[in-house]
Amino acid sequence: MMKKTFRTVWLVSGAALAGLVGCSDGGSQVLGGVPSIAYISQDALEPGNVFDYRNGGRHGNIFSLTPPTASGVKKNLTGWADGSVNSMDVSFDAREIVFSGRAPGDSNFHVYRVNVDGSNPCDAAAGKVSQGACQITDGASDEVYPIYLPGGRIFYMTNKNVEGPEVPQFRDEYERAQTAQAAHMNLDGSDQVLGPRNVSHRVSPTLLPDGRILTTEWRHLGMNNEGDLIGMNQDLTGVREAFGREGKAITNSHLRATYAGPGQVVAIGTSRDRTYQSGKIVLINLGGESQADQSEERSSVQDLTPDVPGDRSPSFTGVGRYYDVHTVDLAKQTFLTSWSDGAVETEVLGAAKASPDFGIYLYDAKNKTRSPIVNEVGTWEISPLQIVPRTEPPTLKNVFVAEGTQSTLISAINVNDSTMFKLTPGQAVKVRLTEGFSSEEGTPNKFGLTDFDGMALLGEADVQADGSFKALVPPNVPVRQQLIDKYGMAVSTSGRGGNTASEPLWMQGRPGEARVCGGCHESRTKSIAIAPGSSALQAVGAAAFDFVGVTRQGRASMDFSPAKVKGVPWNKALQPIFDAKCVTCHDGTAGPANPSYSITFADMSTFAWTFDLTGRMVEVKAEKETYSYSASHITLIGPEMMLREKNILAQVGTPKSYVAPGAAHASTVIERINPMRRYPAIDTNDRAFAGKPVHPADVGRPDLELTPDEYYLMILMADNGGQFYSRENSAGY
Amino acid sequence: MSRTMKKKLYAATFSLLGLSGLLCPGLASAGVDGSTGKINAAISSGSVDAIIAELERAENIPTRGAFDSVLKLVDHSNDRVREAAGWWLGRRGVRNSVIQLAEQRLNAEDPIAARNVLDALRGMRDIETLDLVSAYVAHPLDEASGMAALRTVGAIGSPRGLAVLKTAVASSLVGVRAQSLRAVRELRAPVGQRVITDGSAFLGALKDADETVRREAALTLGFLGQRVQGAQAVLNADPVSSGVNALIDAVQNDASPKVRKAAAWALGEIGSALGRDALQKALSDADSQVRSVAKAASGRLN
Repeated sequence: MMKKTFRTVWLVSGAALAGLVGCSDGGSQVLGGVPSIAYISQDALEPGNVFDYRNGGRHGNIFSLTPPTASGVKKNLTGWADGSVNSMDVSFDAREIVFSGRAPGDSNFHVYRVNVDGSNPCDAAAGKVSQGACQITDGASDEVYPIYLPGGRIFYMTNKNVEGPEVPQFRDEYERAQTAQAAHMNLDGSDQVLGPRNVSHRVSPTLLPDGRILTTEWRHLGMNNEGDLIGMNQDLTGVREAFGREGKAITNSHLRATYAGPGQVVAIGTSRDRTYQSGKIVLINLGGESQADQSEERSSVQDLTPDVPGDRSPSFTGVGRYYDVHTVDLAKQTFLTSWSDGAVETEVLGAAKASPDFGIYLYDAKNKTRSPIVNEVGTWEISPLQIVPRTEPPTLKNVFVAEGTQSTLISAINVNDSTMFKLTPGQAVKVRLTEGFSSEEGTPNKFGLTDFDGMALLGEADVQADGSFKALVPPNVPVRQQLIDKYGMAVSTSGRGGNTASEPLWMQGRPGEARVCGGCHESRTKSIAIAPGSSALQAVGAAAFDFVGVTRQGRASMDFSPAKVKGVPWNKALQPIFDAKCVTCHDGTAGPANPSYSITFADMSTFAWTFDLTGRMVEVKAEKETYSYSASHITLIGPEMMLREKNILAQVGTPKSYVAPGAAHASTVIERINPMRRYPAIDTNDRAFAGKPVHPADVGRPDLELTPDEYYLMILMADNGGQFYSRENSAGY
Repeated sequence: MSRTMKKKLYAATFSLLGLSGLLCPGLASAGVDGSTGKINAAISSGSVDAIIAELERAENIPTRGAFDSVLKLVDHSNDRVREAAGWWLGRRGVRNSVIQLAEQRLNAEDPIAARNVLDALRGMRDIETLDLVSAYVAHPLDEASGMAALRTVGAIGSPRGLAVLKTAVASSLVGVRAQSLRAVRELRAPVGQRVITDGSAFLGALKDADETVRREAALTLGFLGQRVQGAQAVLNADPVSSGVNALIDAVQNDASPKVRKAAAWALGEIGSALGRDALQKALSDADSQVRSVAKAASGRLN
């Protein structure tokens, strides 16, 4: 092990500390009498964004400090020469530590256990006595963020794909890492159970005393991009939002949440990146002391470190940023933390060729003071845990079971019941269910000119007269729900949920799990009335969109009829429509039918474009910028991203996006063609945009009006994000 | 710019923002708030995290003034930056310039230049570069660049990459052999199939002279043979084709505890009861990590 200069800043028993401690048993006075703490020591590093789980610092080891006082003994429990430690947890009886580490010479993080006295618990269970950690997972994947579960199990995150080796784990299309997903196993590493696949990472879990798991999820759909807290049962079922959405957050991401008190957790609130995964300490009220009272709608947050920037701006000297936090005494508002002083921001420190220096401190949020415990020169000391017994929470299992199937049942009692949208009965006639995937399936890094992931339609389930619906979908697969109106479009809504009744997140379920909602973002705390005779929890009669026996990549279709369509490959599904119905006029020849515009940038480069619905592949160049898509895609999706550039100098004409990604009803092109009613039966006299003309009939070409099925494809394209690529036209296939 | 022109520009911009849903509430949005200036400032700082963060933030933003400086990142000292630069450039028209650069470098004599551009190609993950990269794998200038090429084959992920991996596993370079086995685990199965290969082409690597290669061979066989929850093993119970016998031999006789440990894990993944005796014996292995991993694997057998 690399020898370091040792500079431990021991807690002093001075007056400043007197108010923070409550016991008087000699050396264990600090931290309310806690006899020992454990912490991770590692070299300084740039750990990446808050979801990066594989960038552990070198020379990582776990130390115990017994007692955490000047007379305490520091002991290296792992003794690794050059490994990395991702995170750790202390067992309920405080005799053992589980941690994720990348052992010297290994290329992956795996789960290990070690007794707090440094002995090997696995050998001890077999009657042997040895020192050091025992490894309980191995293999080609990473297992990170282990925590103890009741009943002798361990929860962790892994990038092993629950769907097997057919395709690699979901790869985030811009952060590029294979995502970490939930799993659990026995203490000895046997009986590994992988949870359903989400579209993006889940990191830094914690176990609440009521038995639920709280973890940070990267919410990443369309334009959303933040780290929110979600809860789930110990068997990986019942995933439900906990905090961060519905406008309650004060920072972009919340991570490393830990229990603070009844109905409350403390967490680090920060920017997604550039802050060394550190930030504010925030106290989050989950909405009430009992689980029944908790809902995102009722949640709130208190900033315990108001001077710390919540964004990625540099922090001031004396303010710094916090890496993690554990509650010592909520009433006294004292917390065990890791903290670094100064400008804890990558660009500032990078320019200075410096690093933050995290050490362990006791933070008094009432008096805004910190008392140092351990801070060595040249290394980080992080993740301090009190080695004290705690009550083992109850074992929780899923209460909603889909009978008679290994698929996932998705159901709502009444889709019209929502706190987010204002819906009238009958407005939603179907629920569209769409699965998500990303470039791990061989599509290019980018699905088109919008920010949406890959999508494939699973099907559209009928909304019954009572507002209920149910459908079977493939297990373990991220699914998006959209309420569909009689024109086939995602329902236009008003309210704080946005302008469409589309779930702004992915949901998924385990095999045989029933994901049953009262409504669509209904009040989470009110009682749900189930009509007599309702069979919403039974898989019988559910729309079958589960594709039993079909491989993931096999859920593709070159039949683009409404009953068969999956993805909407622009050049194969839409371009034939444009060629047959549109290019007669919209061929890129400047004129009244083909308006032009140009944008001039500060560097005097110009992007000039004329409305063009032909399928010619175009490399649109503005200086070195190039788009390589069909003219029709560039025309309809438009220069939205170009207009995000802040160096625009001038424009001529009106740049326009004709598709609002994710919202057909807000898309100009859909309004212009003005779809006819589709459900329950085609009605050409009932148009989606009443009183508006139908194009191209309005210019004397009724013969070129789109057919009902062509309308459907256009709507599906817009509602699902306006991508160019899908499985069906991926060059990787 | 005149005030009128600015007003027009803002009006047009907000009109588009409204159309595309950008006015949705939220504290952060993908690809928003990036800029040329921020990319260049991050590059100037030298911070790997700052550079990568700003490249990601500018996901869909033209950031014209950053092209030249990002292109230079292809030769940055950090491979994560090289990969991120390739990803960023690959989403833009300059991807063709990077591919041209790769064609030049992979046919020249500088192994570091070749390694760097291969890392950038890994970020691009463009299937059109697969043949170029595969050709380099056959005759790498050195071990590091050969490994970089194989990582890129894996990142591209096409089933077509399997052919070059089968060749590379016989390379004279240890790192190339090991990396070829890792890359197998990144390839997608052909559409309609559940696994890329039955692994028989890689069984011989369990007898390789190098322990890293043998360990990677065991891990790859375990990966290919893993059972999907609720389903039968992908590789059938035939002990020859599935590699179970070879893995049993490795658990019992390999000199390296790292290999014995990996082989024990692989037997657990495959789940064949044929591995039970070997895993039982491994509970008494001299190495404690082999013992604990074998214990976990024993609990996963059919």
